[in-house]
Amino acid sequence: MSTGWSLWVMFLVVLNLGITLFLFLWGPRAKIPTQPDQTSGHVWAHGTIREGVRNLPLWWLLLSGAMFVAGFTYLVLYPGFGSHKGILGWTAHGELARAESINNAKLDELVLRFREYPIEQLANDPAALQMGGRLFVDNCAACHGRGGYGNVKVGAPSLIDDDWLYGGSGKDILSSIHDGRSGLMPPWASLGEDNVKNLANYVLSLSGAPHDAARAAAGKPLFTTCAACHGEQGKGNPALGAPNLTDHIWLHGGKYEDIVRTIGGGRQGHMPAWSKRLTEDQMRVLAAYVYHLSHQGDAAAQAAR
Amino acid sequence: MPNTEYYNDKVVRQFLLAAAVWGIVGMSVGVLAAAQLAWPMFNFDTSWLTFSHIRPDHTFGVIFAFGGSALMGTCYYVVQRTGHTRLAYPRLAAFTFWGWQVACLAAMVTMPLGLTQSKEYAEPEWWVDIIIAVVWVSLGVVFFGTLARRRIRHIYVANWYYGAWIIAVGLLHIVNNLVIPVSLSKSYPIYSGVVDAMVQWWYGHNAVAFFLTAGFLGMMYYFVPRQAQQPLWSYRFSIVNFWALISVYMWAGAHHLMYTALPDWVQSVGMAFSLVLLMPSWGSAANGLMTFNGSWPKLRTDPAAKFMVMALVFYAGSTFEGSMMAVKTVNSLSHYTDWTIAHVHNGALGWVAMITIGSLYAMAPRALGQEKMYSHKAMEWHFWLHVFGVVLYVGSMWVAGVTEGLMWRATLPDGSLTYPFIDSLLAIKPMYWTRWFAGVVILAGMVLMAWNLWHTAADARARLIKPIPVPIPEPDPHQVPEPLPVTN
Repeated sequence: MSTGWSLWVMFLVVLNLGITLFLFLWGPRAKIPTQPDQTSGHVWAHGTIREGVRNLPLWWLLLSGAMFVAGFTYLVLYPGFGSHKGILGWTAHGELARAESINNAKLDELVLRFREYPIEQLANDPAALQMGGRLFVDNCAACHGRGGYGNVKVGAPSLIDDDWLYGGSGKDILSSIHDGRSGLMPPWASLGEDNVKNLANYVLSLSGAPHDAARAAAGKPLFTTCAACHGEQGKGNPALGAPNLTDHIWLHGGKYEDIVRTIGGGRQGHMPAWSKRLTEDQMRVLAAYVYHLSHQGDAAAQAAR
Repeated sequence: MPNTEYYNDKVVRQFLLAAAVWGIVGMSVGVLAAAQLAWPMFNFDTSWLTFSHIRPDHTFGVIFAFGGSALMGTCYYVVQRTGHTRLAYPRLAAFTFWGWQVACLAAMVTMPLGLTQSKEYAEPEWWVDIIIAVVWVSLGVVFFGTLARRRIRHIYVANWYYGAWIIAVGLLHIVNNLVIPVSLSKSYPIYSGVVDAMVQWWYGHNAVAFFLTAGFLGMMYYFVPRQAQQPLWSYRFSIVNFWALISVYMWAGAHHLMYTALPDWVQSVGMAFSLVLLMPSWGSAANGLMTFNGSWPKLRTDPAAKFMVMALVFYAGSTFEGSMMAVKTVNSLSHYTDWTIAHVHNGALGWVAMITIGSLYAMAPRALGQEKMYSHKAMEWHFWLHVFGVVLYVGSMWVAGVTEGLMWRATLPDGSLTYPFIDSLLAIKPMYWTRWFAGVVILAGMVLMAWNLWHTAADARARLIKPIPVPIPEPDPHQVPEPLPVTN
């Protein structure tokens, strides 16, 4: 702040608090002409409105005095009176830095321990799971759901099953979180409506779902085009993020109409990259939590054994 | 008797009707918004009905349409009575009524359609702002014109506040709405970044100060002594409180932007002034409340007086709360939570609505040529419905706000956050249901008031009202009037 601005701020503060302080000091002493009936003698509204001139109540004077003292003290201690920095040297950035360092000191111990484990092992650590769970609900649940069960409306995959578009190892999951993923299924409407329907029936037949056998048979030769990504058997390809078509798990819906729409119109999936928003440590903890989500069955099975 | 001048109460009656209608409209939208927060299906999947689109309709509807109509109506009523003169420029006064209704209607229709400046409490686009500005200047001309032709030399304190309301709100409205229009539906503010934020909250805070406080204090200063049938407690106190309010309020706006990009020194100045603000706030509340000294038994029989006393209690309560929330430490807990919603409704439903309702109940029979309101019982019911609703509303939002504040800042011993954000929403769900119910109760009271006013206005609708003559010459300023006069 330049000296000119500083003086201007000081002037305004002194002027306005000064007027108020003057009123506070002048009020109880002011000589106001008073009539014998203890009013000012002013009469309005057909004589119905009059006003007394009583002195200011003591409790109010004490309260106001206390507020002046508090206000003035505050401007001495903290920045506010022009370029005066305040004798405590307080700044909002300083307070934030202090709060962060206190918190980080508590967190560091934990995070250093987490760094020693691979993600698969971290998935068994209750402290990591608690932290990962918070991060998941605040950042991932909007698309994947609170429980990680996914959302076919936005094409967000379920994270609680054992089906992975891009691989389910700790490293793969971390990579998905860190850099995001972009899935692209091109549209095949150019094959003609009939062929799209035939293909859809063939795709349904891959997972043994109810389908029209004749159409499926007609669609089978066309599947060579699809096999480039989904594989000869339709088992998918994690390197490309091409889903497995044989497992009854559907990213964009498994009804006949859904599949016709998927083949005809194509699909685009987008998982944003979180590396700009979360720290490396947070992303590892999150990956561990997601790994844990899809392996809860294992733990239950182990316990049963 | 050389008495040929009559009060212009037609425009007062028009504003009275408008206030009753806008009150119901604004609060109905509020009830819908509350339902949407509790049960999202009430967004009806219709863009202009979603919460984000109707929320400004609620705030504009209750503050400017309901509050504004009530303020203009009482202002015209009070300035005539306290000046012993007829309203100046009757055609301009009629224009302020119709102009204000057009402005409110335009705002209420365009905002849900998405035409908005995205400035809180200043959402309407530039051409609506121009209508508002023209009406506002006209209001000022009528008010000060009437004041200029008053027959009583001393200007009563209620008029100081009405004058401050008109001057300050005109200034705030124009400065905050300086924009560059690019089409009928879009404009860009001339301010940017943190300056825009500061101008917006200078406006926002002083809309509270000079619209919701100074204007309604004008109402209070006239109708409280009128209803208590006592002299105002202290003229001395009025002077101190008025000028303290004027010199302090303007500088407190920065407390809406604590812990933001606003420079530290601005935040500190805002906080220091907010503390000193308690002085005129509690002073005005005390001046009104103590005017009832000697008239307390009236509270048993007079619902209008009950509304006024309760309004002053809420005024003292919410201004204390406001000054405390301006303290940085408290603000770090309360900001962005429903505590803010509790505070604003504490002020708006507790203070503003109750002083308005009390004043309308006091003014309506007089302006409508009746001895009293049509139904005493309905007024009693309205009082208890309103008080119950406000206590429930404010209580539920306090609980919700403190819950949110505490859950958001809670950390585990290891330093990580205890709760995901959505847990805080789940925790306050019952409070959202309660708030909706409280809103329904308050709205029911408003409907009862409208029904009561409609019946009280039966003679007015049949054009049977005798105009009230202005007393000329004025009473001797030094006479000591008999207590408890009952004329108009």
